[in-house]
Amino acid sequence: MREITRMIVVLTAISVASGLVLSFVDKFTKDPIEYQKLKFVKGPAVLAVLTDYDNDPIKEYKKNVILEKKENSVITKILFPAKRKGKLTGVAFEVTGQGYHGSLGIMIGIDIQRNILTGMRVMTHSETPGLGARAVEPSFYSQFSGLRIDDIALSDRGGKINAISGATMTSQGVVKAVKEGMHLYLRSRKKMIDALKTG
Amino acid sequence: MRVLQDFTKGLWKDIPPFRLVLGLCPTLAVTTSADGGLGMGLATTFVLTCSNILVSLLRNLIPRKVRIACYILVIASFVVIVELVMQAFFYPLYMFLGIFVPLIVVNCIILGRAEAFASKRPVLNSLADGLGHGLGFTMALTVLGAIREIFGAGTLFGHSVFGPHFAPFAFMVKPPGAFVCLGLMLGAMNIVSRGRVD
Repeated sequence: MREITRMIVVLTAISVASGLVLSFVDKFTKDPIEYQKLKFVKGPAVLAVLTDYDNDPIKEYKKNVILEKKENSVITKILFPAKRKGKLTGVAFEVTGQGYHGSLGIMIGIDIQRNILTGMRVMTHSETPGLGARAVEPSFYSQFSGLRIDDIALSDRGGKINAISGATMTSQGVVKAVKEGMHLYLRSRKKMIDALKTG
Repeated sequence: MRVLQDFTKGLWKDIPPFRLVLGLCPTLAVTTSADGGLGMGLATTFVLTCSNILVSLLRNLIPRKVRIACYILVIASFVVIVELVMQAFFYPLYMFLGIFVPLIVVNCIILGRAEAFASKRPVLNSLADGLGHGLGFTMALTVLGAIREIFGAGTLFGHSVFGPHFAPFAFMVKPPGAFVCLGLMLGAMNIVSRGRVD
């Protein structure tokens, strides 16, 4: 019995110590990691989906912008503003979709004057190479440029997006996420513009 | 001096992955560039050295029957630290190494040295042992990565070596090339060692 007690005590002690140290390291690295992800993962996508700007949308990003409040949940986003001569022309933000294998991290850009998509990029995914993974290719993502809300659907449902052959689920996942993002924008447009106008 | 010997054996006599034939998976996978080899080597060295120190410090407290579980806890903690620090300050390296960073936990060199050495020796010796094997591993990976990068991509640490008209020998940066390069390096090391002994 003493032997088992000792085993339990030692394992527990090491686990607790490990947890403490790691939570400390995590706290210390949280902000640098967020900045690095912004710079290397989201940054290129942000600049790719916005079209009319002469500012630095990444530097001028706004965190934790509250877009909607529901009974139990709050929708907040990080917004990247596109400005021409100091005037807001567009906004980019991330939406999450459900692919065939896992979640899809998607960046969309919207022209706030004409309320159309300026671009879409799939940033992170775990889709099948050669099939769903082709969502990152220009032949797929270029279809999203210039679309209005009603055009954002697969072509066999009246929309303008041709699905990737052999990757219907991935294509649907992207379309659904982008459409929801566009709806969110249309519902909270004023909130977004107010948040980005300050500073 | 014993401590110095424990350090230098990891640099040639016992060098992973050639003499101490462990840690081959990351060796083959991340050495498509010298940067990748160097980064992985240094990350592994950090984990190996720290885990050797801690296992040695705790060697009289850890019950034999749960020792492997304890070692893995310790090793995994240091790997998470490396992962977080790499993400925070060396993100491009983290993107390159990808899944092989968390896989450092199951790098046999680390568990191997913990079980074979650090669990039975004093802290200073274990530190030297870990540091020596880690730096040897780093040298091996960097050289292998450099060879594969020079011939497979025409660059070294990202800088062009042969100029713009070089046709890369793409075989080198693919898996078969890794095995062939590894074998050739091992053969070369054997020739050198044989020369010394005779």
